Amino acid sequence: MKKILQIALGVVAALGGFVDIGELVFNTQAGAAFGYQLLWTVPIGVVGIATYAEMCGRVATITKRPVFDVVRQRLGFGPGLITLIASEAINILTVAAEVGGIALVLQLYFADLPFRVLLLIAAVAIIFFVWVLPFEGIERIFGYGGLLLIVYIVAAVHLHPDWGSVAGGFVPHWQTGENTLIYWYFAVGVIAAAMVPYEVYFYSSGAVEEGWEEEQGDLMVNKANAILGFALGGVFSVALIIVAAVLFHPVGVNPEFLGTVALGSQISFGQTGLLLAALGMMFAIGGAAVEGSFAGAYAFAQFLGWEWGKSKHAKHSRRAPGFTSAWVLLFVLAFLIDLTGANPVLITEYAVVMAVVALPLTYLPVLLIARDERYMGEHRNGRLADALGFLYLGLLAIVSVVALPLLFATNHGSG
Amino acid sequence: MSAVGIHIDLGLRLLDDQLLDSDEHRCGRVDDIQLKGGPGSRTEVAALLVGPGAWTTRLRQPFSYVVDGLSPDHMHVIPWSEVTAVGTAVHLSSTAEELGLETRDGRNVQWAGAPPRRTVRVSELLRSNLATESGERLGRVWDVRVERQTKLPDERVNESWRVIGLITGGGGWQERIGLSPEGDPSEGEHFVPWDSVQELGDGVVTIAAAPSLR
Repeated sequence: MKKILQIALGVVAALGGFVDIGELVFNTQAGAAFGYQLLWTVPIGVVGIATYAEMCGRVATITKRPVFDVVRQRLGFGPGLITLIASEAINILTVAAEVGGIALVLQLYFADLPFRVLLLIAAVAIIFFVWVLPFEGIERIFGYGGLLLIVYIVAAVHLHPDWGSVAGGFVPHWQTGENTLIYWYFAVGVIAAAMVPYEVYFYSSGAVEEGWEEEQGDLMVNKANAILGFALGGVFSVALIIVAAVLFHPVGVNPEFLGTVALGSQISFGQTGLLLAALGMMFAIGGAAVEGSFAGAYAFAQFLGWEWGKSKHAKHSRRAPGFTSAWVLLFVLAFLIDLTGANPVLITEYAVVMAVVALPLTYLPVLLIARDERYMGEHRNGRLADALGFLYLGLLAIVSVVALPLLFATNHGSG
Repeated sequence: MSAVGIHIDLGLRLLDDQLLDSDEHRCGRVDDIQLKGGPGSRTEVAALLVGPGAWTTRLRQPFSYVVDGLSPDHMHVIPWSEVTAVGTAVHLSSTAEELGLETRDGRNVQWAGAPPRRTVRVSELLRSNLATESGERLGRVWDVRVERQTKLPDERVNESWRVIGLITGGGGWQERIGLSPEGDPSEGEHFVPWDSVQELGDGVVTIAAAPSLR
């Protein structure tokens, strides 16, 4: 019974934690620009992240090696360092986007305050929560709070979309015509937003922090969290696309602001809908900010072999000073980027698209270790995990080549 | 019980691994491995090298040029006798403090420009190309294979690890992607016996002509 409860709590946390500003921006913009046509990209991203998150969790449970440990060990020092530099750049941009996103949500209610003050409030509040809460508390409070975004799922149903067209959107198809490049830009964006690497850095390090053990049945917990959690998270993405397709696509609104995303819920359920959407976004984006900053600190400490971990920090604060300094520094750098006045939605787009370039370098060593019998023994990849792993690696290699050209050619989707 | 030989590739299984001290405290990574010996003599793993002073030389230009001026010119040395187990991490018999890893008192430190006599760093070998005495180039060195004679076929390290050869050609990357060739690990088309190594030069490992490599 205790295990079932643990699985349920983990799934809910993964579900709530799946949505971040990348999902909010790309899914809403994809729905507004192309209606239901890009729905097929959501399951592609979800199966990809579930495949690799399951592998990362399994490797962490069996070998006690989180992702960046594996990256350096298998790629070697030079390529590992390049992956680290790319990942840290993306993590900083991601955290900048998330902190800016929280400030944008706060702006819905505190429009009189200067934006920079809201940024400061967002950054200080997140640092405060991370400092005082234990690891499990951080994971679950933000994960559960993010569940308020269920309001979008209810809104998607409430808006009575044409379900036949919705079903048709799940059939992959080639777009031709004048908007072809923009179509593929958003297709890449939706897939990439689901597979951003910080999620697996955080997930696998969390498995080590929580002391997952094969003997305790944690491989089952891992499988349930990765597959159910992310799959249900995909439902949020689908809901965001449907709401945008019904409300914004027919009138040609381009949701360039996070407030426009919140409007989707407000139009359906009034002020209560807006409040739920705003709070849900705040938790989801706040959680992603924490995950992004921790992911950066995990990657840095694991690459250099330093002590790391929030649990360690709580018990022996003097023993993981490098890790603690790294996530605080990451927040500071992200905050400085926000202070330049850059639009958080634009930062998000750059962060997500740049993440695609680093994805193959992150996932290749994970796949190699997960299928290596010398490390994994009987828990090495089965045929399905191997097939999906190689399939997605190939897909990511292609996507990583076209992502940046698409970003610039489409003027980040603006045409 | 008679001893059995276990073969391990240092680049794949030891270099870059996490170090755990006797308190299970993470205290660095295996930034390089120091071998004692050389061509024509018994060559063994002698120590693990840790810290920026050890990994700076592993960077390629222009990164090494940039980092070289900023990083310390020394590295920490962990004698091989301090290693108790090599599994998914490297376990040590003393605390990080006792080994001088987290102190600045100069214990167990080696200057980057003054390595002990008759030592070779694994990273130097991994950066090298193979060539015969007649100058024929045979590709790069992908890994360094060692053998440990042990009565205990587990992860404990209580015997010396002796270099038996170099891995070249497709053998190294095949190992890395999990396609280990079957058969005797001290034979094969990608294996160069250590006995055939004549000289270690600047980025070049010179070997006697090895028809099996052709």
